[in-house]
Amino acid sequence: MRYRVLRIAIVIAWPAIAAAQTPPRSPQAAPAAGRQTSGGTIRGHVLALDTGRPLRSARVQISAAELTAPRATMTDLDGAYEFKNLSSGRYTVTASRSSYVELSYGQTRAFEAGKPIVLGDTQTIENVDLRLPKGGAIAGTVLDDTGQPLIGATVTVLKPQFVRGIRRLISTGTARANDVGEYRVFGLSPGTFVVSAAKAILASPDWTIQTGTGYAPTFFPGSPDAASAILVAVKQGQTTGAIDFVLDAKRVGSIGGAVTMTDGRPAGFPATEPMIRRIGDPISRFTTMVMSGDGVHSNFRASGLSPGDYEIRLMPLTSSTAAVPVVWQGLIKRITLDGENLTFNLPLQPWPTATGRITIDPLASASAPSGPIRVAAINVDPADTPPLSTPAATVSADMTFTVNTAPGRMLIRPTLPKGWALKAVRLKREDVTDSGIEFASNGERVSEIEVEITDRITDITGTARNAKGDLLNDYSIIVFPHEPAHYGDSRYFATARPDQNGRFSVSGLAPGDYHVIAFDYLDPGTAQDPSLLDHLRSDATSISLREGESKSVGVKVVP
Amino acid sequence: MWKRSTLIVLVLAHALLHAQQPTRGAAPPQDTAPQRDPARPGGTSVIRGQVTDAQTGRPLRAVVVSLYATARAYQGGLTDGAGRYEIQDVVAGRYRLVARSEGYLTLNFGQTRPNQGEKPLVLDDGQTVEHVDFHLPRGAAIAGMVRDDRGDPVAGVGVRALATSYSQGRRTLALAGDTQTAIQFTDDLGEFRIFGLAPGSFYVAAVPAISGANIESAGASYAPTYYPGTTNLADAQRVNVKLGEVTSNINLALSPMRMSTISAVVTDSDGRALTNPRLIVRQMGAGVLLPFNIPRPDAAGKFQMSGFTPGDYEIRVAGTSSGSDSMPLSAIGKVSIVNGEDVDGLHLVAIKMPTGSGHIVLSGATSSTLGPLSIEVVDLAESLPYQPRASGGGVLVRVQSDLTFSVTSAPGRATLRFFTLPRGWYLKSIRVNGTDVSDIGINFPESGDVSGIEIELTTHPSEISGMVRGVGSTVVDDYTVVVFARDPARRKGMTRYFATGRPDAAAKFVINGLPAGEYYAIALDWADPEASADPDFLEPLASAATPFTLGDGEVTSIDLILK
Repeated sequence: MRYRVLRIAIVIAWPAIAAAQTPPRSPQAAPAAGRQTSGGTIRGHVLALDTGRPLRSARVQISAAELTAPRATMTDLDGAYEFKNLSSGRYTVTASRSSYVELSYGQTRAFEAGKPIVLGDTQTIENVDLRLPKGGAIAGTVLDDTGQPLIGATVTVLKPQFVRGIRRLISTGTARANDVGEYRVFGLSPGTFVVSAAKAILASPDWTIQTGTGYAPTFFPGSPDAASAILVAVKQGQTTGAIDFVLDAKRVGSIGGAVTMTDGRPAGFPATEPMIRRIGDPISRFTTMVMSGDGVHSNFRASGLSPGDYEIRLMPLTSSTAAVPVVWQGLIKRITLDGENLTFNLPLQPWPTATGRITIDPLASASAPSGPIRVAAINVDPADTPPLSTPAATVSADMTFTVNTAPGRMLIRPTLPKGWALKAVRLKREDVTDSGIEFASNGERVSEIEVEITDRITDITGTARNAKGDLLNDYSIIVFPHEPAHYGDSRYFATARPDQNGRFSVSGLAPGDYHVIAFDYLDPGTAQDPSLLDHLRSDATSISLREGESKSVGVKVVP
Repeated sequence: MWKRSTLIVLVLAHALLHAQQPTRGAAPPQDTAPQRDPARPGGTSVIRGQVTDAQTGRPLRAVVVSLYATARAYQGGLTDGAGRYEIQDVVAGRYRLVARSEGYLTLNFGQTRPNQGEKPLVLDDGQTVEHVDFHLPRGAAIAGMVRDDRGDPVAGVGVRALATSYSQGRRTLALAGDTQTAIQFTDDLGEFRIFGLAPGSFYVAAVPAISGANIESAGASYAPTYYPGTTNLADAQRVNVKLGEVTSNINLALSPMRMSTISAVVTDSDGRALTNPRLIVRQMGAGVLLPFNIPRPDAAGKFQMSGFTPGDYEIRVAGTSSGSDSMPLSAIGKVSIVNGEDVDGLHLVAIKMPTGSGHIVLSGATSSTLGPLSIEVVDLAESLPYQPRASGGGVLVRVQSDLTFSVTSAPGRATLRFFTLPRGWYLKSIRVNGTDVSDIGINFPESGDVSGIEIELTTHPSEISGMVRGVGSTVVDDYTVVVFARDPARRKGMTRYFATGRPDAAAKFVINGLPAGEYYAIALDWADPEASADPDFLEPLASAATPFTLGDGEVTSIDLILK
């Protein structure tokens, strides 16, 4: 069932842009007439795809590995833009304008990766034109259960995406209901969406609200949870209307209390503010709680909370500079509310630390990577939204590391220079590469972690053909493991797009058995859907990778 | 921002201190068992009431009723399914009570319509006040469409209704409606709908959204445009809106134009860049401003700003000298933008900012009841459309514990004001070396400092109180008293000789803290406390008003007839 819905998203929704996006002019290198030593130039126009008219006041952004930060400009009266003083490099040009779909140059469909523009030193490339399709819209009304408009209710359009094998909903647009309850979310890419409506209680700093009536978040057509929401389809440039909501009144509650030290003493002003999140709310966003205090006591408060389960997090203060001491204390607490006013304290807990060393595969050709290595602890439960993100630690010169982590089961993962891959993670000689390490909530220190890395990495290259047997230049591939338990793990899963010669390359996957499959187009957000992968197994090409092995494979594009 | 980082540093020091202490002998650890909410006020009074739709009488749900003792609300109630709310644990005192619901007009306790003076709600210990009800009128709406010169809808333009107001001695344009919904952005059809408006007469302005940070060229955009389609406020037409009604077809046409860029450098008189330079940019005489991305000058003092439409602008830079003296410096530059042309090579030379130093003089109680005080410098030159501009970026300066202070100001006339004064304390006068400058402000010279500033605070303010009678000498319990200077010169500018009062529960009005002088008082059915300070509003009232003289610190009473 879910698979069919996704296929609609992947296959049907996109061709409209694909067909129309072919640029009439191709970028060309201008003769280097007035030889300027001030670097290269990229210029072009932003146009409306449907009318071909120039789009003024569109934002154009250019990015490249050579740029420390993206550069941006706005189009002029003719829709023209220009970037000067560019050093040679591979540039991505992206244009956006209100009510249009944002696209990168060379991008044939929304969400797909664009194609870089290769610019030589002092070269000028003209006609880098972008044609933006008009966005679609979702419109409707938000009323309460007595038929009155819920003025100011927020409607959020969410796009389903799969991250580490778990479906997440990412906000792609939002609007508020007006005085007659009408809303309109526009500038949407074609696709299918979950739509939610919520009415927040008007917040104001520092106050204490007592119980009253509020409204629970609702998913179209009237479900309290996102899982049973009906997907709303939006076609390119068209309005999907009558997406109407009725929100039920609920008794809302509040929470309040003090943030304290572990021993109950007042915590002063906490390093970071406690945040609260409704568990099961797909909008993976925490709300910062209202804080008040006198410098010694530190009080938190959140009001207008509709019935449900909530998670409270207080993340430790982190610092990128070693000069500032970091007190590695935080807390995670779950509560259930049903319209009452709860008072409790939040005692900070010392959080765990992991120490260990990097070892090199004895069979590796190099004795150590040349670049820096970082190590991070990543939570195993990908359903934890948003993930508990704690900072990665840099491995010191003697190859040891100390990484701070949140409590719970964590994978230890290194970030390695190109050409290197993780071979194994061991704790006291036991392999914990894929099982992770359980960190207690009392600040326990876990030591003797060994992270073995290797430069004998796997490599898959290949080409794709269509049903007629023609070699293709433009496609997307998925490489996924035979073992479904590893679907969500980046060591066993990769997507790729071909280079200008039509060849794809995936390197650094863990040794094992894999499926490879190619698509005409793939929305990266759906690639890790386990039900999609299960379905694709039979059509995919199977290959086996041993340690350090390079393989070439030819795959067929799934129609 | 600095406030937050200071707090973090303090916390760290505090946490480390605790971490280093031995845990033996410390108090037994407390678990998370609920205890008394430290954030909850410990009073014994209760307020109860109901919020309804004024037109239909239907109860309004999920409405927040906030209780204000000072400028900030610390408590509130939330209406239930029957529109009823309750606020418990209220400490005895004098409060403002405000009911706010999106799409409706916000009412304070004592108001039956917006902009009317409010009434204080006075609570005793253990008292339960019932039936503190609000009947909220529905807001009016203005709806229309924004198109460009080709007739295409323009999305993402911020449309707002602007009301003429009178504030800090000047007529200004203020955003109308609830702050959260006052600016409505056009959708992909170019449509907008501004709602929650009080009845009145408004300018409608369309302002393109800010184009984002670090834009190299602002390209083409639109100047702020007023209904029916002019970039000049003087040519704009006002839109009349009736109570709770929708005014449609308020359509605006925008003309695209090239945006200008200003490239400039700011240095001290020796050509050195400033440390921590801050920019303030304003357009002179504009109704609304294009939102700017204000850049930070680079290490050499260079900066570039894009997105200027034709007009006259003032650029102010405040910073400190890069030398060891860290002297506060400021520069003021005036720029005219013509027809999409860029301004290049503007050089701003920053000079030392004058300082003003002095002390607080107390008459009445001692400083022990005063608590910490913060002073703000308020420029008396032309103000920004939306708010009075403070020199030096509106920085608050803390008064020292010995009651001395030192502020910096850009050259020109400015006055000092307190961020808030503790209850019972009133500003009596501001003097410079014995001369009263309470009304004219302090003249900060181009070079040199001002010393010997005395700010006198008193706990014995003047007081005028009284009752208002209507037809047949019956006592009226709903009115607004307006008190203003007999001398028309004292009605202009940021005058101290103006106050409004509203009846308390006993129908009596009390106005504290007016300076000694000759006054008129008049009781009106209702008056907007801000707008009624307009000298043009006061002038025709003088003939019908009651004259009286107020001595220094005098407590007097005056009974008035409702006009």
